[in-house]
Amino acid sequence: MNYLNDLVQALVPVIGLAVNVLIQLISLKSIPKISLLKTIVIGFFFGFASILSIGWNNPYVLIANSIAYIFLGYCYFSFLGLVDYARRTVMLRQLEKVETGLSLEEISVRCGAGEMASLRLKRLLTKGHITLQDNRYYMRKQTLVIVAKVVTLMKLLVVGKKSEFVK
Amino acid sequence: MILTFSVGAFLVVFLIHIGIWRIKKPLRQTRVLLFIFFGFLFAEIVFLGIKDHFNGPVLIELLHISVIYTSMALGYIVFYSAMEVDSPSLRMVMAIHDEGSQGLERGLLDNLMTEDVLVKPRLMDLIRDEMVVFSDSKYKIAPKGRSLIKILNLYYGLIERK
Repeated sequence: MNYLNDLVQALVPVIGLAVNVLIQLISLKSIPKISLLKTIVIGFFFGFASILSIGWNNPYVLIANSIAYIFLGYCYFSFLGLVDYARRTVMLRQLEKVETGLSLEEISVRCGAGEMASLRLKRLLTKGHITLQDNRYYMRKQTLVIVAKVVTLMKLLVVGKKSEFVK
Repeated sequence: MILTFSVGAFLVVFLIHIGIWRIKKPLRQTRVLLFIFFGFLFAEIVFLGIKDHFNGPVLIELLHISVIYTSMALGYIVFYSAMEVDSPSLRMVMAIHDEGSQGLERGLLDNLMTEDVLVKPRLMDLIRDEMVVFSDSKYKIAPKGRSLIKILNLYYGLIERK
């Protein structure tokens, strides 16, 4: 019985991830017009709740399992991004359709490089991060500037350079 | 023991990886990261297993250590891949921020988001990862890329919003 309990404890992060994925998919299919991001958040919290309910008896194990679950949740979030909208996936989908291949210009047009940029710009404008006045863009909220600076710091620490376009 | 040999081991390997990267960054970074992280896990499991004679409770403990460590290692490798790439939205934000109170001219921002920034680097990644090949002046999907897209499309069917 003790072995079984220890085995369940060992698999708690994986159980949490399974709950996360299941709830995310169910909420996506059953709640009309819900965004993908909202379903990811819902799934993550249900998965986390399942971890807390199974593993609350040992605080050290709970901490370790929670850390593992957060990392697994991040993996699933990134996987959904890769499946849904990652630029690499969009390109592969377009290349898969044409056996004879595509030139760089054709890929740009088919993947909507211009659209990609204007969609992101529109999102920044509608969410009030930036504003457009007299044909010039200005910053309104500083939140994304802080995010960008944190990301740059992490890039410097981990990758060793500020941007992929810096040699 | 579980916390030390999972979270602690992850932190040790993280520092080893940062050290190696400071000396010389490998060409195939993800592959090397996988090798460092899972090579260390394998060595740790063998060491702890031999030390405690691979009996029942130890096996479950080793499984628990592996689950936590693997989750962290995979999460970090995914995070690292995201760090390698610039986010177009954050590039736009910083370009506007850098201009301060005078703002950034509309046309200049459009010039920042060209195919050289949005398309070409990701295409080069696909070629490096042997997902795409360049022949006869055309980019073509390689068998590895075709297999990946088949897997991704299977899951896309589940999350597709009509």
